Amino acid sequence: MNATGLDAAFVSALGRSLLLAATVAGVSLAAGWPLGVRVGLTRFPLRRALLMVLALPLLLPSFLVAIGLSMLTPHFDGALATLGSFACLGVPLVAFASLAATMAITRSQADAARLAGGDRLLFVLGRRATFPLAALAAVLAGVMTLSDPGPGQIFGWHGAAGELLVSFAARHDAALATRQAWAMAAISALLAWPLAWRLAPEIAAGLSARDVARPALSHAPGVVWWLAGVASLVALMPVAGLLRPLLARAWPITRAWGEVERTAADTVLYAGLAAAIAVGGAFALAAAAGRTAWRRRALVACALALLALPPALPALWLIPWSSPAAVGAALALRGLPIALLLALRAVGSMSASWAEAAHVHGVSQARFTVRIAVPWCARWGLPAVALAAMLATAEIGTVLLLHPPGRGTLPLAIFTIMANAPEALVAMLCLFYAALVAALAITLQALVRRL
Amino acid sequence: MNTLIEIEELAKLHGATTVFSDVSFTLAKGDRLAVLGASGGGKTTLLRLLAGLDEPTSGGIERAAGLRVGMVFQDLALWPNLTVLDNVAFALPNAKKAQRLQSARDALTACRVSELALRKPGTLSIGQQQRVALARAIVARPQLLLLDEPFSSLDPLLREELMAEVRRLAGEINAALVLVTHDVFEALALARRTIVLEDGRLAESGELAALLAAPQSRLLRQCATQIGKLRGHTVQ
Repeated sequence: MNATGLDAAFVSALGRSLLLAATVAGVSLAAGWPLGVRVGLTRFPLRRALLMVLALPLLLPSFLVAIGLSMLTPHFDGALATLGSFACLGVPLVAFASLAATMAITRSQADAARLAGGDRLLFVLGRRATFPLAALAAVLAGVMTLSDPGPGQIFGWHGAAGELLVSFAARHDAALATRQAWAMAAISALLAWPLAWRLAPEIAAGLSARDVARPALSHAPGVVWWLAGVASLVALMPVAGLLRPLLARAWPITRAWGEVERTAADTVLYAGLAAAIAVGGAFALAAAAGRTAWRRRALVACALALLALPPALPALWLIPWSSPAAVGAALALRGLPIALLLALRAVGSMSASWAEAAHVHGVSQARFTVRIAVPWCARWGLPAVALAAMLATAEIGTVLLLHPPGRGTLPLAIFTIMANAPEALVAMLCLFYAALVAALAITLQALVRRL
Repeated sequence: MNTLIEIEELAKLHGATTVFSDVSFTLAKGDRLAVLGASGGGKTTLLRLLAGLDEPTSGGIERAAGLRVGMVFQDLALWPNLTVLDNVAFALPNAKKAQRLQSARDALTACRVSELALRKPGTLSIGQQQRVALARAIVARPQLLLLDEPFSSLDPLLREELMAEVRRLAGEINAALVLVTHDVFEALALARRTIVLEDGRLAESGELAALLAAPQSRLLRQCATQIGKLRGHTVQ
């Protein structure tokens, strides 16, 4: 133990984790940023479908992606495999952040760029305009690897998050685990918070209502191959890995379905609780912030800061109150940042004059809320509920620390049995989970488009 | 008693900045008042005070009991998730459903957009949206109709057409009309009386043609000069 109460093994693991985090951030930025800008400013066939595929790894537990990659070939392991697994999450995160940032480019700005130097100049300007947000997403992608033990466990690579898991689960030393979680939180804060604070005003402004015309998208059919290639690498390769053990033998559907049924109630309960708390809290905070610029900026900064914190930290604090409610509350913190950003967007996109028009014409506040405000917010509220639920379900560390005996989620069941169960059963369970998430995402997208 | 609103020594401050002070006037049934002023001169603030959306810093606004107000907002403020018919019917919260819908259809017909009843505002042209906003403002047959620069984003032909509609509709329901604008031609076309807000005070008021003949405010002096030049061109 050193003066901070951390053992040498953890400090050494932390060094390795930091190196991995920096590499993940670099790879994600290099691959995700130009792709996001290109996709944001061009139109091509299958754009929406391929973006759905690209988003899939973001909605899955990281260890599930790692299991898929590990099943592709037994030679894929160690630090490189862990890096590849985390990059499957980091690249889409940066790509989507860059894509979202291109939406701040107005039609007149795009036209001016095209007049001056054609599409080439537009993409150069697009890359410059989106760099800050892409960099923030890359840093977040890197920082989040610090507290994620999943891929490292699967590929036999030992990082700081793995040490924390050992301290709690093998050594049963909650005090040491808490100190380690605080150390990771401090480092995460140092790395991510300054950038989050610096970019919060820009993001808050982007989440407000703006009446601007979107740029005409350049027709670039070639981008479809670029996006398809990246989507295949980060989403389809893990799925292909999961299919490999099932190719030569009978599919253990019945046994896998039994496991799904056994864990379904608790999975839905924890996800539902987490989503309700996260989305309820997010909309309450967004409504309280209203259109006040500094409050909205502060909430954006808090959301980003929360995203960078290790999820184990609140879970360790809640251990004495271990219960389904505690699991739900701790998991809600995982979904809260994204729910908060969507809630801020929902409230920010409502013109202040809508409520005033209701007031002038004698419509009560309650009637306005029920008929106008709530249905309007539903188009962001529904994705917020679904994303918070999916992110909460994907988080296994918190459930592992807090769940009452015998009441785990499906991802936790997969994580627990993966070392001893037949490969085909693990693969089948992972595929079930991925299919459920994909079906939910597709249904949600269709629903939101109809609102 | 024909007075709808009586305003006395009204003042509004935003923080330490005076938007305007010492503004007094009355509005009676059938009045048509234009509030002229440069951008940022406090016109919209005055209209919001009349609508009861803001409170004055000092001074008094006395409204006739049960005064019904209709308003066309600068950004129109149509509720995007309701159909055109529901947008208009929603402004009659106290009526029964059948009556609400019938009145809304009548208002849409009066504004010549009845065929758009089932469409959402986002699918309409700006001119159509203006008419729907106008239908919503008149559906409750208001005694006071407030218009916040409703024609500013329209081309001259459409603007002329809509101003004629507003004149007709305000006459039909015998509503007093307050138009906030920075365009002297809109004021000439719609108002019988004009007040000019300048430098945070009521610079002048009266019948606009008379004011233009001997302008006291910078705004009207500039307008009078431009009108003179225009007449010169027309004569040549």
